[in-house]
Amino acid sequence: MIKAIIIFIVFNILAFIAGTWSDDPSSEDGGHIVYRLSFGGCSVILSGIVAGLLCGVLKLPASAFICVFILLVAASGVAGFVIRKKRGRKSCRLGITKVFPVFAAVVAAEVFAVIFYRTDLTSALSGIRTATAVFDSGYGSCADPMMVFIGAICRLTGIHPMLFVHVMLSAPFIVLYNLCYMALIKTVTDKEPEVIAAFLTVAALNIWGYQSDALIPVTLLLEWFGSGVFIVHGLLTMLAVILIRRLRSKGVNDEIKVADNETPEDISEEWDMNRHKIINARNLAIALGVLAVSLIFVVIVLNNKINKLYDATVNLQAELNGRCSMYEFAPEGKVEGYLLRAGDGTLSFIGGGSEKNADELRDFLSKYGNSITNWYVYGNDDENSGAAKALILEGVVGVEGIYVINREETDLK
Amino acid sequence: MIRELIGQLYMSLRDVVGYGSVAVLFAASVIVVYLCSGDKRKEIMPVVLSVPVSICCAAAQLFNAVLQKTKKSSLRIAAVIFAAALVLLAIASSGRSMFSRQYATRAENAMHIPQDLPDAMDEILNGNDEAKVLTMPDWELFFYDYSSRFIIAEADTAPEAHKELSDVHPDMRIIANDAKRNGCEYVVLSKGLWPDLPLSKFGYELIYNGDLCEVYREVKAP
Repeated sequence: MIKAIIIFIVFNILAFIAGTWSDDPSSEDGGHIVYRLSFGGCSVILSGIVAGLLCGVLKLPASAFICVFILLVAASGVAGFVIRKKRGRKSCRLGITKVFPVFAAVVAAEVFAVIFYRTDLTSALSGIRTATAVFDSGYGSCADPMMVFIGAICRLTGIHPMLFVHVMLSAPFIVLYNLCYMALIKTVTDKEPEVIAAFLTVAALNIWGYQSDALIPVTLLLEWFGSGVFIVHGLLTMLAVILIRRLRSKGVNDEIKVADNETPEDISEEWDMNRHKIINARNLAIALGVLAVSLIFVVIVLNNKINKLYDATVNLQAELNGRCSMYEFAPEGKVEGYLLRAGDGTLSFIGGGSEKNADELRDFLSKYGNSITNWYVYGNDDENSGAAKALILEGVVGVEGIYVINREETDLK
Repeated sequence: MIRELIGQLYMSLRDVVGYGSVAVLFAASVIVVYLCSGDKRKEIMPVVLSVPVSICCAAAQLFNAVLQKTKKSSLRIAAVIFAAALVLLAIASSGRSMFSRQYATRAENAMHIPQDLPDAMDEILNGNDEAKVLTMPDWELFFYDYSSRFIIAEADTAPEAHKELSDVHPDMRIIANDAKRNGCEYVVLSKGLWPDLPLSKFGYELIYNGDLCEVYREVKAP
């Protein structure tokens, strides 16, 4: 319990340090702590994922991972701090409102639920295996970087990954993702009733899940520790916040320009050129973006095609072997017998001819198998069963049963 | 090629957005966000990046619209309750509760492993650098998550044993033979199995007997 509280506090201190870059460009104040902790928390996890990726690719030990992770968090914090000082921002405000009790109650209920209820989602639990491997070996692996991150932290703290994921990690991660939603809601609206309503909607979505194929595995209360959950509930949410802020600040700038009574006549030639440059750069960026998206989809389609081709061919040999096949025995160009291989692999031979075919028949059977289940000969004489007798007497062919058939035509037709 | 690209894009979108009532919920959310945001439409539209985010923003916009358009205080409360019920009903009817028995059960311990299994796994790992184990198909995941020192005989390597283990009355001779063939020194079985003859009759000895599971070790000739 004490360890869980320490991890919660440490995570939020790191989030506070790494979240110094969370200022709203359209606002002059220091920002709300919700933004700082949500941006910072996502930065911390992203730093962990990047460090986990490096650690996995380069097969670095967990200690090296911790160094890279701390460097990344510190770099993010220092960069944010410098920018903040340049802009002359005040420190962020706590601003406890009526929303806080609702937030606290919902988050506490969710944390309680994930600690005391066991999920049976196989895809969620299978990821912990990677963290356990890192915990046991002390080295990263080329697997889910989030799990490498968790495994390295477990190695450092000496806590088993299963205990860490289910007890220690639930509080900081679930609080973080709910803070991300709160940050987005507060960006969209400032009115308290709306904020509460939207937040309760998120809580309902966390309980019932959004049942699409892609989103059900990333339902927060099923897999709060996965990479997919981080992308859907953390990154995408914060990306939406950043985009809304950008669009809003652009709108504010446009309004300021209109207020300054700028007319087209006042626009200087230099300004016009700059404007064209910006437009050209923007068009180029859009074109490159479209090209990149097209390329990604071409790669996806080709990848799908290759996968389909692989699936079609991977079992081809097994399927071919599983089917009934017939091979012709034709020494000196004249057909003297047929070898039948049934779907279960058993061999039957029909014919064979005289003893002079024995050598060639021996070579022929050595290619397909010397264990014949049923051998059908056209007669008991040397002319029709001489080769069969020779091979059986030599002991090179094992035969379960020999049957004589005749080729007399009947009147059935 | 273009057709395939569009097809792929459409399928990916359907995977994210879902089908039936789930897709209707998302579409309704996008429409609500678009219609209710008024002058701020351009600013707010990035919320459609994420499905859960767009649903929560739609709910916020819906409540705002309800509060703005209802002037009488008694009606406002009724309208808010109605809107809340509508949102909750839409989410609950398109989803399934995470706390239903299908998804979650009460955890027996902090590690979220069935009771007895940690003790059984410790018993196996005690004094072994590696342990090859045949166990119940549902428990393989717990062994992998507990320690990377376990090597599990999975269904593709021991198909006959796995077929028997999925039966309430398994043939222990088949399980023992398949386990030996795969070099499994340990077999961990559920107490819910009712074999005619115990595994101890086929070259394995009982080394751990818990409430939920029992652990057998292969008897090796001196």
